[in-house]
Amino acid sequence: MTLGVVIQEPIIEEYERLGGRRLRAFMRNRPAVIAVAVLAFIILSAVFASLIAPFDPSEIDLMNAFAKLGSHCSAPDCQLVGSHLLGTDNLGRDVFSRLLFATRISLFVGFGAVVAALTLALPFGLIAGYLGGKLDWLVMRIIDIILSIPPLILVFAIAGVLGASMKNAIIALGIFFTPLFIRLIRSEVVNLRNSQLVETERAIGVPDRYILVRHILPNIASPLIVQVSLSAGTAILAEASLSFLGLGVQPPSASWGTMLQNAFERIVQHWWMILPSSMAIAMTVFALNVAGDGLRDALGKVR
Amino acid sequence: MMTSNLSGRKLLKIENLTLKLPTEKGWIQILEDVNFEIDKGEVLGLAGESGSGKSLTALAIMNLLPRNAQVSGSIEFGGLNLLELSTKDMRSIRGREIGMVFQEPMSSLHPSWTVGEQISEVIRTHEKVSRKAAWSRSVQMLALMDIPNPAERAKQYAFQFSGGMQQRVMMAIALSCNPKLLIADEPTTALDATIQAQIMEIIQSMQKEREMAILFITHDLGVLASLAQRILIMYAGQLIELADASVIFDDPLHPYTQGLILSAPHPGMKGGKLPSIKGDPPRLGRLPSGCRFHPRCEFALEICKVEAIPVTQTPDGRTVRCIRSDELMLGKQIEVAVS
Amino acid sequence: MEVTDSGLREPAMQLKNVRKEFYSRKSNAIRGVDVAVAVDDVSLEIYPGESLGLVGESGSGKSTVGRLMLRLLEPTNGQIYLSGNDITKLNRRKMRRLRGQVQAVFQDISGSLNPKITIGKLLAEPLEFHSTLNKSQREIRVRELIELVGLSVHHLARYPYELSGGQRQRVSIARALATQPKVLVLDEPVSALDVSTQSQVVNLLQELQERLKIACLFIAHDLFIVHHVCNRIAVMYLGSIIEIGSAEQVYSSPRHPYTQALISAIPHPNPTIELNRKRIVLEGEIPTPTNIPSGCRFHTRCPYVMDICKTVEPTLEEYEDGGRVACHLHIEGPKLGGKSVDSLRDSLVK
Repeated sequence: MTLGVVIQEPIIEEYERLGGRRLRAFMRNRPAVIAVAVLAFIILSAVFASLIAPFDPSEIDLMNAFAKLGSHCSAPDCQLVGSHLLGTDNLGRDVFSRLLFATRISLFVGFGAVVAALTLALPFGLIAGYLGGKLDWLVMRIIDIILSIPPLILVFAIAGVLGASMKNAIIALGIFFTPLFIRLIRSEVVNLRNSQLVETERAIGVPDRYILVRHILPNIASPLIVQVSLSAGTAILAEASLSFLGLGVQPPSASWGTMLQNAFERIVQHWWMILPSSMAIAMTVFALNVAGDGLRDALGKVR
Repeated sequence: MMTSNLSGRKLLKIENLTLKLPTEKGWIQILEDVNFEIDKGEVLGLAGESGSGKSLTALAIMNLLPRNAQVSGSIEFGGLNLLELSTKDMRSIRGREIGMVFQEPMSSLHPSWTVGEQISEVIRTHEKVSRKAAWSRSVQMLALMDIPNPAERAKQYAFQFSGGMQQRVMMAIALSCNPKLLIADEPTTALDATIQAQIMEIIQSMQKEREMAILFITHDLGVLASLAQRILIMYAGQLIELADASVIFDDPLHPYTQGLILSAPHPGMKGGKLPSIKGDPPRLGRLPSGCRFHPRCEFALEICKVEAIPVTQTPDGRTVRCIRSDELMLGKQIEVAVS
Repeated sequence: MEVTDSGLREPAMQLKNVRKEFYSRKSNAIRGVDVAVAVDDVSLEIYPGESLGLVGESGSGKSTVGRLMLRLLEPTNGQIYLSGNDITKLNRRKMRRLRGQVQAVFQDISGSLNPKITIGKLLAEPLEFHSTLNKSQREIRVRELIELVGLSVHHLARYPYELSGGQRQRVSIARALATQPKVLVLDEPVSALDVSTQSQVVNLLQELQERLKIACLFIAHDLFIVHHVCNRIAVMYLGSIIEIGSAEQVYSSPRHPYTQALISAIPHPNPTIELNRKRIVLEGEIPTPTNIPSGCRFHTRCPYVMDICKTVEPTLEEYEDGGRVACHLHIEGPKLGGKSVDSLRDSLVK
């Protein structure tokens, strides 16, 4: 019988990193992978919009208004490269080019709002969750008040008060998402606050701010990432709604919402015009949701 | 409704039980070639640590394994092969012929049903009795488990009971239809020492009264010392020793058994180092070659690292999976360590 | 204080009349607060180089005592002394600086180690905040530490989930020793481990404690292990220390009926002995800390209960060997006067 302390044999075999396992779990989810590919495609097309777009999105060509898909431009000095892939709108502007630039704007507002909300929510959520007490109570009550207002009304009201512009759309949406994120972050932090992990770190004498950043934050990242990706879809929809109603991005800038509004006004005679923008919105939001679900499954399952 | 037929047969006979579970990396073997029997009214202790497969053996008997598990072999209970029964037939065996008690009573009890309702439900599932009759039997079972004021407590909910009391409720449920076999999977591990003693007393008296067979699963050999007639030791999914309780503690045949016995602290051991087994129990899916215990075995030879070790029967009827068991005088070492 | 040959010895850690109450809303009423007295007037000392075992079941308050010592919880009443200095009321910042001297190892069930950080970084963390070592000096010390607990430098690049339970506990021990603490609080350090691994870790703890001369508080529910490893044992029941003495005395000749029952509750691994010994099985459930019985808190379950036990709470009385016990049996009734309560065993009806 072994009596005594024995030196452990080192683990020689290679253990896979947790990150690798989660990535593979995600990869196995076909729909999610396709969704990510679609999103990548959309984002890239927005980034390289100026390179891809055949026309200037605001170039007006009244002679060629409502041109059908694939038709040529009317100007005599028009090069062969000018073919309106998706037709033109009421002012003869190339829909395809407009769509590409609109993607930029819509994604910017949607993602921008979510990122802004996250940046604002993190400090409040972390501190309120960790310290508890009166501060926590106060933050939660303010959140309750904000969230008791129906979302769309809240967003419209803020945009209405601030004035319609892209910047204010981001602010309005940001204000909407912040309480949601704070609540999520706070509840995750509260869970961890009483965990063995935090207790051990406190016993060692690690200052609270290090505990928050080094130990709590990385361990709440997973549910947060999932929530952010799902919220991004909501944000894009909300932007479209705002701009559709004229409260968000203003013409002549194009966003999916403004294009949709433009098309909607003329739907009776030229019904096909709503297709490009609505399909873009639907595809993006759907892809975001599927990718978000895939993330939730992959991050949740694999420890 | 399936009823087992015993007439002369062993109550439970497990042959070549093998269990695999699918993972990312392929199938991992949880149980390999497990064989044992339980007689009517016999108490068999099943001892092992984490990764030994003891709990999954119990779940296999009750056919409560995850759906994607691959099981082979046979589990014969009173003439019926439990692995081949339909879901409906298996359900009539569970609870009526075989009862089971788990480690965490709070997770096994229904949170929003009263305790009396839970016991009654089991009774009414298996027997055609009226609600009133089932209820009074429930109260009787609670009284049998030494729960004071059983009539009132039957109307209470699980959370209103302490851990030890909850475990008594679990046993009342398990024994309500007078099963022939009780499977107890670490029933006292989560309880305080003085409460453990109470529960053990109840289990012992129930066993004697009803001549019930018990498969008692635990990691604590000491608990088995007075309760079990025979003890089965499992390691990494394999059976590695099976012997009478009266013999195994003084004269273990397998180095792991010896290690388990010695490393559990017992009186008369003050000072010096506690005996221990070096290394850690293997992780399933990363089993050592040859003898699964060899990396931790003091007596390992080259051949132990290579050859898969079969189970052997000794002349005096004991079972062990070790090729050196006849030459190692493990019993003597225990004597020395204890004196 | 202890009188030894070299004069008076200062305890490394001391609790004086410490009381801890927890409040919760009444479960059966709309208003009002339930008070749970987790720790009731507890005083104890741990001397440098000694290991004190603290044993009890649920509701005993032993874990709470550990956390009070670490000042992870604030006492409702009483004082806590570290090397003779009163640390009870120190503010957070001052307390944090002292933490290097009082470290802890907890039970590892849900993970004391951050799964996102490597072992090496985890070991370096206490050094970051409690030492003046620079980065490369810390690395050297981390290597020393990992080998001190019987692991190898290979493990430093691993993550906690890649190690077994026993190995993780070794890492936790190494972390606790990084700052060379004077006092170590161990809260059920081996309870969650496999039996075969428990002894390994216990041996390691014992060796390190002796070598480094650390004052240890070993909180456990397993009397056997505590008896093997500790110099003295204190037994707690419902928030109060009911017996304290040398490990040998408490274990072989317990003075309190509860201690006797605790020892009796553990089955003996030898079947012959186990079947023939007379077991003491207590009746009834353990009361909750919100409803502590009057008089002697153990009287509701005591096999030797007398009338006085129901009304008067016994105080800790000291006997010649320095051991103390709070039980009327030593003063009234059979008047044991310090003799083991085992002598009353045969008088039990069961």
